[in-house]
Amino acid sequence: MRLFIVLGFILWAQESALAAELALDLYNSDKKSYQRIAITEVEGVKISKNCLKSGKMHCAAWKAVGQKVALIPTPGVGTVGNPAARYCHAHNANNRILLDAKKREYDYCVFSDGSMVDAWSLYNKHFQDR
Amino acid sequence: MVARFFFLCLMIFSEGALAAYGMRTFSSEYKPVANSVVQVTNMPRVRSQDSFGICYAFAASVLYDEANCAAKNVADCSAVPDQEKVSPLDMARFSVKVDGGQDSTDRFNYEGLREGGVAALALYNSLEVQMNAKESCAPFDQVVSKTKDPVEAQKIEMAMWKRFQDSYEAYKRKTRDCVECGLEYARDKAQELKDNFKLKATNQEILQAFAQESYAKFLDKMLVPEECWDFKNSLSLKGSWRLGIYPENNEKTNYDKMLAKVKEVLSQKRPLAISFCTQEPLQAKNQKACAEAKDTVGNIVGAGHEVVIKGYRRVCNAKNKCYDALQVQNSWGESWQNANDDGWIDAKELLDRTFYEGQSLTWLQKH
Repeated sequence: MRLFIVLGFILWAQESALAAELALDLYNSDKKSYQRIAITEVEGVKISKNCLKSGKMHCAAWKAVGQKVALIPTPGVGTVGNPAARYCHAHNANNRILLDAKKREYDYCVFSDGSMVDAWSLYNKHFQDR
Repeated sequence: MVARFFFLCLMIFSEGALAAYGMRTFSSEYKPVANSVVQVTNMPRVRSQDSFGICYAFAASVLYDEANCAAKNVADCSAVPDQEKVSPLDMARFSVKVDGGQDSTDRFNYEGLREGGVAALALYNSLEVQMNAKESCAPFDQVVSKTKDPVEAQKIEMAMWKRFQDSYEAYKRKTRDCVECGLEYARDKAQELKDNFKLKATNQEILQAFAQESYAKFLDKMLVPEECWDFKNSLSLKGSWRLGIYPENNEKTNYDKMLAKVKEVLSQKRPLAISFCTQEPLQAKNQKACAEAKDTVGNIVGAGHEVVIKGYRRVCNAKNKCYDALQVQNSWGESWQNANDDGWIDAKELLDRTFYEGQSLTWLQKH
């Protein structure tokens, strides 16, 4: 009985550590429809829930979180663009705009394995002023 | 050794400072002063411009959509559907001066989409023409690539405008030597570009795009379908509006005067667009130099930006050290707004980065 209580507590603590979850919509141009993406927050970074495998974070998006790379400005233009969107490209990811239920727009870096991380979460983790 | 250490510190601090782009938030020790807030609360949704340099078009579109909400007494401007919002992509055609003698009210004199521009000019011309394409007709997400390979997609997205430009210039070169060769190239390229970008334009329209005499017009034909030029797919601004700008050309101003103007306009419940330099550390001495900053190999990698100001407040800490703060609506998506105190930033830092030049502030006011 005590073992079940302890195990239950551990599972609850793990879920709590993953904090609030939300769902965002990503347009699929092949299917011409929106697909629902489950997002969770880990260590202050909003990331797709498909990164969580057997209780551990294991995906290209999570790998990018741990790997700061150089920013790449876009040459030929006199304006700054969206720095976080361009930072996705620096990590060999596409930048996509995901929508919430109120159609508010969020930039996400989408990797080839289908994992995604909030572009500004990633950018701020690596570059924000302390 | 000391010099190397100093340089390293400079690089480290530069990279850290790079994150703010001239929009610096206050620490939590600073609290808003009661009754100091002046704010436009019923605003259109925050948008993302993706990686493309058309911030000015997004800023202009926000002001345009907000003005329409005000004129139509829309209760929740953030919930307005795409059929009733202007397309920022289409707005990107209006930041151009029409040649003398040409009719400035004719939309056909604004062919061509351009990265880099100013909201003031885009809005001025939009008011003249009174015919902007709806967001639903020329959706910004049409530039999203279908390519599954992220490396290729990355190259395509980063170089989307350049890729289009390369295609256009290659067509021009082939056509000079051999018209049939050029046409064959254009046909092949049209399908490739259509497959790689979620374009609404038909293949025929894409081929017509190749025939344009300038790259800006070529881009226009590619991204904004012909149907968007129909009256039924366009929007106009309800009511009678005119453009406000500050400072007027040749008018001298400073921080106190510019802040006073911002507060005056906000108190009339009108948001403003502001153009400024995001360069970190700030080395440019004017907005032109900021836009023309170059990298080590000579490419222009400018740092100009435009956002919308929608609020003012005074903030103070427990030691009664106080600052002015402005609330901005940036076109860098909701996550940026959420991570930056919903856009409340240091007013002095922001306004200093306009270099107090002419037409740094723009807004729409009723006649």
